[in-house]
Amino acid sequence: MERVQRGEVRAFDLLFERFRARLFGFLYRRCGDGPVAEDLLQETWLRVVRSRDRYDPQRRFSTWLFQIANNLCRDRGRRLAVERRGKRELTDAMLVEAPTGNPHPVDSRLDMPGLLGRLSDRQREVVVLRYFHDHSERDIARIVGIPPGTVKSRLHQAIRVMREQKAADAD
Amino acid sequence: MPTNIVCEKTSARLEAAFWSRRAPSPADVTHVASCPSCGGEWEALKAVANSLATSVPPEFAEVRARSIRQVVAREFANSTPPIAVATRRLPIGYGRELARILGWALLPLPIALFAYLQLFQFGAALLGQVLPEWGVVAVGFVAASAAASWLAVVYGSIPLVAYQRLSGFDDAFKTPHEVST
Ligand SMILES: [Zn+2]
Repeated sequence: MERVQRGEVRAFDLLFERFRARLFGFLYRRCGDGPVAEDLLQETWLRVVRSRDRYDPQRRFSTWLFQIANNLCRDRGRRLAVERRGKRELTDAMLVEAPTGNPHPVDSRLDMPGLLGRLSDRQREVVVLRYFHDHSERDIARIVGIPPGTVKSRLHQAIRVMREQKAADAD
Repeated sequence: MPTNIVCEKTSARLEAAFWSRRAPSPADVTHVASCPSCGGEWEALKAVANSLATSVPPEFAEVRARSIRQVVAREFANSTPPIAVATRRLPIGYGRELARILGWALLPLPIALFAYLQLFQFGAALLGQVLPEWGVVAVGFVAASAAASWLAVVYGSIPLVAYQRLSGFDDAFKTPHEVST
């Protein structure tokens, strides 16, 4: 990465290839959509290039890279949630009888098949990093920007959700 | 659910094994085989693992990868050099050189100031005979500010002179990027 900071295009190519499959796998499992993952991958690298002066060589490059990628996924999740809420409010307003009860919660779950789609965005990010990418809890804490203890508790909650889902599927 | 300390500890280790996608230790395998509670835990975790295994990313087309690489490489080539790289470190020994020149430059300062003050008083006395008091004050003010400006220019240029002596005069006026190439 230091060679990339010095402006070596060849070094960038090497980095891109080295993280290509990992980063794509991460983005795909985070957002559940191949073409979207490809777009986010491009955006991640563009951000790496644009903010390469802010990279601290004392830190691991993969932590920084996944931090950027994860933030993009979060932004996308938030945008989707707002869009969905907007659509629902519009539908509700069009109904003759006004709905009662609580307003719809912001839905961060995705139209994603499988167990990952049953997790909240906050749970999914730690699960994907821990289970599929073998990042340590400390590393995940840095990527996600939460204390290591919170990573542990989110992983624990995620297991519970996934186990309950499996049990429900079996019934 | 775990009913005693052994089961609780086993359960924590099973969860750790699940996250690292490792098999449990032989001791835990033995316990799991004989304990219905931990056996159930492990079966549930295995079911979750089997489900997660179906989350396989699609193929990342080579054509798309190449196009992304090109877009990013173009951005890379067009982007201005980052600040961290552009910022040139001061030459080695800069502080010592600065102190040395400053020391030499400060030596004659008291004598120069004293001489100037004498000249100032002499001029004021001379002008006092031909100009009214306000005229002398005005000329004195101009003379004092001229002296202050000269001092600012001379002593203000010392850091630049020190830099120039260590790294060549031209470099001091180039942009950091030009210097580094
Ligand atoms: Zn047990």
